Amino acid sequence: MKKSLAAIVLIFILIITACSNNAGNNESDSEASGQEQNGQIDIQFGSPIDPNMEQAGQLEKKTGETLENNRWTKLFAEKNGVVTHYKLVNPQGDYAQKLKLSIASGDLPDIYIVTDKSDLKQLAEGGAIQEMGPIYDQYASPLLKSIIESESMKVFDPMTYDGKVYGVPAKMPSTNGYNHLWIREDWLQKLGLERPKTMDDLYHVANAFAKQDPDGNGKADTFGLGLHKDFLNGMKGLFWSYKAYPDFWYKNASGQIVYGSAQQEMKKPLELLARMYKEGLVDHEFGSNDESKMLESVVAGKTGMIYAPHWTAYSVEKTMENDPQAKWIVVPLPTEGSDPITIPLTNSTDGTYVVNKDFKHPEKLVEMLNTYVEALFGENADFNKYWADGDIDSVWTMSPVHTLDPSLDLKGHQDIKAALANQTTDQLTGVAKGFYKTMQDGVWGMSMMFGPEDTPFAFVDQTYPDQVMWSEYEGAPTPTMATNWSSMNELLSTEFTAMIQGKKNLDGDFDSMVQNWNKLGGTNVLEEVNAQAAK
Amino acid sequence: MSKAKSRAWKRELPMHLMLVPGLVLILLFAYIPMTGIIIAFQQFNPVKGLFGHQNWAGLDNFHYIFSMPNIWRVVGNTLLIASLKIACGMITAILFALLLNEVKNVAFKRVTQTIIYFPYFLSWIILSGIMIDVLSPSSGLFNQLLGVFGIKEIYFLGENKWFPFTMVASDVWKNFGFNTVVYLAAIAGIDPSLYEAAAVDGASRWKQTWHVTLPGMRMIIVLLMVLSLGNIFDAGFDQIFNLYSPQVYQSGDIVDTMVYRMGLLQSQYSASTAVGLLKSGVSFVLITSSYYLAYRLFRYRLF
Amino acid sequence: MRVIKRSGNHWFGIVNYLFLMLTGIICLIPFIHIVSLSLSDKAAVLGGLVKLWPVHFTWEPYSYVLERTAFWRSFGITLERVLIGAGLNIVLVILLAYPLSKPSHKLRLRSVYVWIFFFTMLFNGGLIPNYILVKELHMLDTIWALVLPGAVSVFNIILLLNFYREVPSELEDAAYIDGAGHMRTLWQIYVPMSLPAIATITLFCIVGHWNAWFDGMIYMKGNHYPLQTYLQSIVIKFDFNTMSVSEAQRLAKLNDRSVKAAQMIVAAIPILLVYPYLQKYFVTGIRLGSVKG
Repeated sequence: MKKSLAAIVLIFILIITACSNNAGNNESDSEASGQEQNGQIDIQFGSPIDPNMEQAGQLEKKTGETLENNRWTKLFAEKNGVVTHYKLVNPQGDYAQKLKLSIASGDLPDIYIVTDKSDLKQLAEGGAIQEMGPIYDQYASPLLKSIIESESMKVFDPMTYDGKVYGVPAKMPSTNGYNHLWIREDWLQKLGLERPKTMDDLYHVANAFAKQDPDGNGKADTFGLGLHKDFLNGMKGLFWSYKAYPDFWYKNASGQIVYGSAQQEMKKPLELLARMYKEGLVDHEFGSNDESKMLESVVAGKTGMIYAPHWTAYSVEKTMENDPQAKWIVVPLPTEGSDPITIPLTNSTDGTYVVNKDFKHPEKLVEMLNTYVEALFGENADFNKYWADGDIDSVWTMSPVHTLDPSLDLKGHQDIKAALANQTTDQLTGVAKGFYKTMQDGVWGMSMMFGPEDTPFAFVDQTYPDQVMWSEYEGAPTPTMATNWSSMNELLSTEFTAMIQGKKNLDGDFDSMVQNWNKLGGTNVLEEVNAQAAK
Repeated sequence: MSKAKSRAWKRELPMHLMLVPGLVLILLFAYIPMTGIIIAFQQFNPVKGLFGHQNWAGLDNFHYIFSMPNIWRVVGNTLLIASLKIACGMITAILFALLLNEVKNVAFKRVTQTIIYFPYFLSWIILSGIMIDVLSPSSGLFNQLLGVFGIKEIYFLGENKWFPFTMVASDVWKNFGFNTVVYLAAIAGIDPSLYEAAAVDGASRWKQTWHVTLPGMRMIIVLLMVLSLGNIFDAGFDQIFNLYSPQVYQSGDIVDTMVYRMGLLQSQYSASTAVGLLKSGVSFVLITSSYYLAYRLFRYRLF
Repeated sequence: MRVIKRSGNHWFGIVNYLFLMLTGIICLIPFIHIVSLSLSDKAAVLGGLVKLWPVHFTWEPYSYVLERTAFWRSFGITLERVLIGAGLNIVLVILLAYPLSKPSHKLRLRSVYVWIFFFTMLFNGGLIPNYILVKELHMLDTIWALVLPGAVSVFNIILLLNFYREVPSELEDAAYIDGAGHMRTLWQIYVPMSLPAIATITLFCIVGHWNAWFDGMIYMKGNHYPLQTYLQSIVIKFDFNTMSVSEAQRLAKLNDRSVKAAQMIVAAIPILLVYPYLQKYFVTGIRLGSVKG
């Protein structure tokens, strides 16, 4: 009847008001942003932390610490008077999208990280963020400066517009950009082979691995070299041996900045891959297999050699669970000719920290970063506390801001190596202590990465930083890149794939491919990049 | 106002009140955001906000859309995938409705139905997770099975020539079981005396199916065909978004995924809104005309 | 039930049974495979050894999932969303379908209302205006962002109003003479007579809310993701290109198909439990308008 109808409408109104009240409560912390009380200031952060990550759950269970209330946030409260809140906190992939929506709705955090260089450009040019250059110069501690600027000053390029610096980079170890040659040492020994020193050796090893039945099952079911469709990115190391630098900006002999993937040097490594393809040394399905598919064949003990980054250790170690004899090592990248190898690296960062234009205390960002690096790398650092909690790693990411010493991983390796040689492993400190403990706990992947011999970091130690060539261009995508870059890259990777498969001829088709690439926008992009770099 | 009229109003009033909550919600969550369509006519700069001083672009964004090199490819993909889904989905569902109708063992019928309905209720998230695993070229179950028959492995989700058909087949897998329900209902509604008459005439089972069952379903079949015309631009965002990857954009990118990527990944907010608006406009014309057709042909009213 | 004996072809019957059985099995195989993965040892799974039966049987993936707080937190949010969201959906659909099921002479402005609702099926403002609206209503990161924007389902209204139309008008007239208002007529006559349709719609709403993921990704903070959004972020988004190096390292370490499989299974179980109960209403509950031939 009418009464019950009235009741329903009433209930409906109640629901609406209830939810807006409820929402109001939830919002209360954002209303408080920037307010100072007893010297404490509330700051809303934006950070791509995955709150669902396993480590966060483990830590909460163990110590009761949460994302907004943990050892890091306590440290910032104590040292910088900052109370941490998150306005944006989403896993990596979703964060960039959420940030774009926040930009459009004008609902930005006080201090946040920007991972997409185009967003950064838009924010800086639209006046939504503050100039940070002078503040960084004034407040950054010598330690923080040494960490952020240690590799190359180009690290500030993506955040520099009209000569003003609009943020502070979240520096990460660029040694992550290394690409290593992993080999099944047990197969080498079984077949009586030497470790490859030249690309010729590498070819012979691959040949033997594919043809001489290294797994001893009487079937020709093994591959010499793991190949997958993202070879341009995932197998860069192979190209480096030939002085070819795919997906990398460097100066050629005449001082022009050029794009590595479209240079003549690419021909020789592609030729090698095409030959291996023709002779059946690599997976004929590589054009459709991604890296994780290739790793499946590695774990199944069917592939004896791969190019991959150091953290692939966690994947290749699983080979041993299916074949206890398996032993993977990393050897220095082979060379072609007499020149030592050159490693092309780009400044590795996790993004750029920026400060909302309305936020009154931009210096807090720099001060917090000071605190952060002091706690991990300073003289009175308490590395073990702030890096990990026992076997729960990633504690270092549960901070609203972070930046790491670029030589962190390498130092860990060096210290462990020295300590093992001097038998002083009980005196290890800092990173190395943490690493070594994890290794002792039987995390085999750690030993494969940071151990003293035949590991990725043994190779890094040989070459970093003396044999490193730094990228000449790290700025935001140029206008042509913004619109055409993906189709330009598509062209390169499909053509290269066809060349390896023998469907296209390397000598003839390479040049016409470069021409097409230039037509698609390559010429413009090169002009734009060179002009930008000249500024 | 006459007394009778005012009484009629009084009688009607509660019904209008019943509509109030729904209308408020729809006004709030559908019509207010529609003002955002103006983005399509601006050079939208998100930093300035929706109500900030945006520069007007007139129809530039629409010109831009049609100058994009891949626009017709994307439209073509959408139409191909959507129409194949409609056609294959219908044929499969009708076939299974007919076959299930022949089954007399009630338990068997129930179990079979339960099994084939089941995927309908799972999200594309879960089904995509399963498909990514099962269709994997190296370790996937499906390719291992093909291997038994001597067929070389196929990268169903990574090759342009396979991707659209993988989408169609998996969509049929998810939905056909449920769609059989609609047709089974139609079959159940056929007057039994028609079968009696046919049986008296000595018609075989085939003949009965052909002359009684299928004509009895004709109406619903044609009706659903007409109505699905309106969905010809819906190739299934949830499914494709979770299964595609850059290497199959050529054959698998559809209007909805393109709108999403342009808007949220490439920051081309205005152009992306314009594409969405065009799609809505075309769908609107198609759907209204298909409903008009349904009304003219069958006196069918959806509302 | 039809009881007429139809002169049958014996062979056809057998082939038919076999064919249907085979189809059923094919439909089940992917699920059996995923269940097997979830009950197998990590190394066996990574080596691609698991097919339709677990290899090195273990409950470990499940005990791992059981202990995963993030999984259960998302599970709880989804449960809350299903209860509030589906409840609201159903109340609204029952209320809205009633006036709209009336012919125009019994409800003035009916065609205006119909157009208002129908129009929203086709046009929407896009992501950004919706996001701004939800933000302005202070509903970001609350359950209401997941529940209210989709509270009115026009499709379900259509389903139900066509059912309502089947209710004989004599019943309504009799009730009117008894002095019953529209509200009472609705609850005492229409709703009981439309139970199959309401049950079907209930199932649609539950499943819809259970399976929704996109709005969770857009409106919620990472620690408040509903279950499917959470699953999407771990099962499907595995794109190393858009990932920072530290994230890639972490995931390389965690890449674990059996745990993923176990989480998918646990996320599917509630649906598995609900739908057989409501299944019996399908055949009668789905009627897309009346066809008068």
